[in-house]
Amino acid sequence: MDMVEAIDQAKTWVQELCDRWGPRVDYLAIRLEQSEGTDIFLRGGQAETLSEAIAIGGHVRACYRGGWGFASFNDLESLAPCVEAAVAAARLVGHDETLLAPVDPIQITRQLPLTGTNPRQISLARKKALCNHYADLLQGIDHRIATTSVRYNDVAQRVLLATSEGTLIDQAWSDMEMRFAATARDGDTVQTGRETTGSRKAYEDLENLDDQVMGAAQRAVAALDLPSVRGAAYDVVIDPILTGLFVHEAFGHLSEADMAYENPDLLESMSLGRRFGPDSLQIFDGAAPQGHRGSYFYDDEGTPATTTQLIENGVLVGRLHSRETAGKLGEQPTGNARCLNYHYSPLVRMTNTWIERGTTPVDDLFADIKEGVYARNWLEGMTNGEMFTFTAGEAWMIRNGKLAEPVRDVTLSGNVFRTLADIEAIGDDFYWDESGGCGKGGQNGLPVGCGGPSLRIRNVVVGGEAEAEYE
Amino acid sequence: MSDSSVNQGRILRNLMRLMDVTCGRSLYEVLPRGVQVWLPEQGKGVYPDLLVVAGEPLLHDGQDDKLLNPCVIFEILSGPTPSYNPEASTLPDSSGMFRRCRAIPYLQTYLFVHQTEARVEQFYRAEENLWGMTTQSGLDSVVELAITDARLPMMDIYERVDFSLLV
Repeated sequence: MDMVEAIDQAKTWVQELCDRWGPRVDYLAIRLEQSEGTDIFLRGGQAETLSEAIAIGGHVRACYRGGWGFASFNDLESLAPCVEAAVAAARLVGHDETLLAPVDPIQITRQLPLTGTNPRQISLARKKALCNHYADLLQGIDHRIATTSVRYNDVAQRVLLATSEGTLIDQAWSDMEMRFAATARDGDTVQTGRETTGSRKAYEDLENLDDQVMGAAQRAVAALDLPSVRGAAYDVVIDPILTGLFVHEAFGHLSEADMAYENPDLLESMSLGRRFGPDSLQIFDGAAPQGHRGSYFYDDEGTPATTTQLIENGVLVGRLHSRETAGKLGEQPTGNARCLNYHYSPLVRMTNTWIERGTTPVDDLFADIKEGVYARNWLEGMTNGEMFTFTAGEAWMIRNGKLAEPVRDVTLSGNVFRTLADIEAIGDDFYWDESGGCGKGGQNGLPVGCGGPSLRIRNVVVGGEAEAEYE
Repeated sequence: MSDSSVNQGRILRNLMRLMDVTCGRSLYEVLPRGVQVWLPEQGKGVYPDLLVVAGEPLLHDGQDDKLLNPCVIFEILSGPTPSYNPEASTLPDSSGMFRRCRAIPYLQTYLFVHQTEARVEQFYRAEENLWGMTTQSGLDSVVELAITDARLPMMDIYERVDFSLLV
């Protein structure tokens, strides 16, 4: 019996199990998952990973008087004992009240539409050839390229979700991602350039990336000879990719209601109605807009995808919920409960997160800046609650309103609340960055989309890399 | 850490003991100071105070003094360092070694252990190029490592450490 048949046949069975065991608890959900994927990793042009994998598994979640039981399995034979175990565990720990925001039960089958070729129909050899092609491009840029890496993965997932409330959702999608890095070295100076892209639409989205890929290696080589920026507080202009990173990493995670619910200080900071930014600032998250890495029809609790406005005219108006956080905070569920795979329970996660396009022509963002920094793309970042530090992928000085000399080692640091308040102008451009893999609670690499326009922000702490000597 | 203070030695001994108890007979292996972690892209190595390897050690060109795959690194800070301040406008990045080690693809967690106060800052890899950070301070708290499932009570990390000693 192949897996498609296995899931098809399991449909009736999981419903029967929900009917039989559901009355013993307040809520019971069975999630079955099958996935097929490819993983390729080339370092220095040599294949370190080359694999095709097929997996089937599932998990059971039961809630009884506010207590949760969870059990996961990787063969369908274990399904019934896992239901029993999860129900028993929930009954053991539940001593309070189950508060799950209601959603309408639904029975539906949906497939996220592809606009081009399904990556599962492309041979492993052709995917590897594509990786080799990009690795050659990276290596060929300059003799100072010390090493390169190219990573490819795709996965086709089908998820069946049945609940004791009568929901039965059969949902499927394909997701793919490629990551490129080149490191250039000249004596003791080491510089890296990176590019990442992804798609839920077509294998063709990963082809014809030559210019983008070469750009990563060119930036690494060019940076070898650039001066470090002088550390100071500057007015900065950031490109849409950095805007997307900022809105996701610095702001978005604080909008996840489970973070706030567990941290009273954060819940206080994130009070609805509080002003965070200028009138022109609009921030959204939602899986409902189609065609991005964080797009889907239903989340892993069966809540329909929505678009949630988080900031309206500079004021906090919403946050992201699972059914439980919405129930506990008396708000509407937003369809943001997601799990990486069947090994994990769903958490409140972002989907596609974006700052809406503004009205300032991009060139005007630079006007009047006597001495500032223009930063594009990013290499790495660190966050700690409301604090963030991001390293720009490339940067230039702005002098007297014009782009001036390129500089390197540009890190942008700040407090997210202060930085949102310091947004001075919002560009009239917009770009969806489909590269995002989000990490939370050990569930790393969850596909997300990030979008935004260029932004002008005043008084950002820019660190030149005061390179510490070798210990 | 080259010339160690007595307190650094105590912290190192305590960490070694704690980590070895947690990691013994698991897939993780704890290695003490002296093992060189090789950074091939930089053509140099570093010498962490304590490190953990998952599975078998990977060696650069088969050379057994050039380890490539630490998943956890501990750095015992040698002197008083600017404390993390939630009001400050930047995150601490007090070590050149951490900056260099962030390029190690296997590295999941990097810990700074202070010796002048009971304080541990843990950076964990949340995404490929994005690090999150948690801080534990005070002898009553517990450091939970992002991997290896180790729980390190601060009381045990700082056992016999005398904070009144001058650094």
